[in-house]
Amino acid sequence: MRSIKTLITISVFFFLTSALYAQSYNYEEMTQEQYNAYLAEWQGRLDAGNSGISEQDATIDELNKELQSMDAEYGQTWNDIFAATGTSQEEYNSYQDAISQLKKDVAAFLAMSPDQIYQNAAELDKLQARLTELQNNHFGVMSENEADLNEIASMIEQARGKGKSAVPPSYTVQRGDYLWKIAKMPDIYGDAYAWMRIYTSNKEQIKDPNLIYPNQSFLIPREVGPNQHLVVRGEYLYKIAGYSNVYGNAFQWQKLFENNKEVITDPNIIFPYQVLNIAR
Amino acid sequence: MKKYFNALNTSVLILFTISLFSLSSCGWKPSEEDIKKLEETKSAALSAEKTLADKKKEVKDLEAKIAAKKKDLEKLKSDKDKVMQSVETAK
Repeated sequence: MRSIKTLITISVFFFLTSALYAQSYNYEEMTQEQYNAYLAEWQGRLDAGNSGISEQDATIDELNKELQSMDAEYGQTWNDIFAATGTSQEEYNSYQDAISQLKKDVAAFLAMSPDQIYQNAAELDKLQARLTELQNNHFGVMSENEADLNEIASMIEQARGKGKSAVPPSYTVQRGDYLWKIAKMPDIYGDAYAWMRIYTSNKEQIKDPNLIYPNQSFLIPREVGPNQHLVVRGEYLYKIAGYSNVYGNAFQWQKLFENNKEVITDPNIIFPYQVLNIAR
Repeated sequence: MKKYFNALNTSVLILFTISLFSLSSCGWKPSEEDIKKLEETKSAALSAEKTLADKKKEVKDLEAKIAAKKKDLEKLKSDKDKVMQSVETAK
C-alpha cells in the first residue's frame, strides 16, 4: 500500500515538473517540422534582406557618383562665371550682401512718413544710384539677383509716390501745359511717362488726353495703397504676382488680371504708372 | 512470498518510472544549439530588414538631392549664359 502511495507521488511530481518546464520555453511544444519551417522562413528573410542591401548599396554608390559629378559641374560653372567676369566667390558674396543691405535701407526709407520722404528726396536719389550700380554689375542679370533688384526698384518707386503725397494733391492747368509736361514736373511725378496716371485719375475731366484747358484742376494721386501696386518699367503680370508683397507666387498672375480688367485689356500689355489692385 | 511480492513491486515501480520518462521524451525537441541558431537567424534577419529600410530611405534622400541639384545646375547654366552675354555686350 505504501509502495502504491510512493508511486502516485512520484508520478504526480513528474507530470507537474514537466508541465512547468514546457511553460518556460516555447521550444518545448515545437515539432521538428515547425522548427525547420521557422528557420527556413527567417533564413529566407535574411537572404532577401542581404540581397536587397547589396542592391541598395550599389544604387547608393551610383547616386553618390552622379551627385559628385553634378557638384563638380556646378563648381565648374561658377568658375566659368568668375573667370568671365574677372571676379571671385568673395566678390560675389559681397555683391549679394550689398543687395540685401540696399533692400533693408530702401524698406526703412519706405517706412518713413510722406513728409520725411519728401524732405529726404536726395537720400532716395542715392538709393537709386546704388541700385543702378548693382543693376549694371554683370551679376545683376542672374535670375535671383535680378528678381531682388526689380523688387527694390519697385520699392523705390513706391517711396517716390509716397513722398509726393506731401505736396499738394492737385494741379491747376496753366496755358501751354499738356499732360506729358505736367507729369514731368519735379513736384508732380518727375517722369513724363506718368501722364497716363494723371489721365486715368481724371477721366471725367479729360475726354481726349491731347486736349486739356487752362484752369482745369487735376487730381494728382500720390500714394499707392497697401493693396495696390504701381507698375514700373519692365514689369509684367507674372513678375508682379511673384513679388513677396503681392502674392509671392508668379502663377497667380491670372488673379491679378481678373481683378484689374478695368485697366488691363490684354494681360500681355500693361503700362508703367498703372495702379493695380491686389485682391487678397 | 512477501519477499517475492516486494521485489516485484519494486521492479514494477522502476519500470513504470522509466516508461514515464521515456514517454515524455520520445518526441523531438530542439537542442540548445538549435534554439541559438534559430534565434540568431531571426535576429540577423530583422537587423538586415531594418538596414535595408534605412538604405532605401538613403536612396530616396539621394534621389531628391540629385533632383534639386539638377534644377540648381540648370538655373546656374542659364545664369551663366546671361552673364556671358552681359560681358560680351560690355566689351
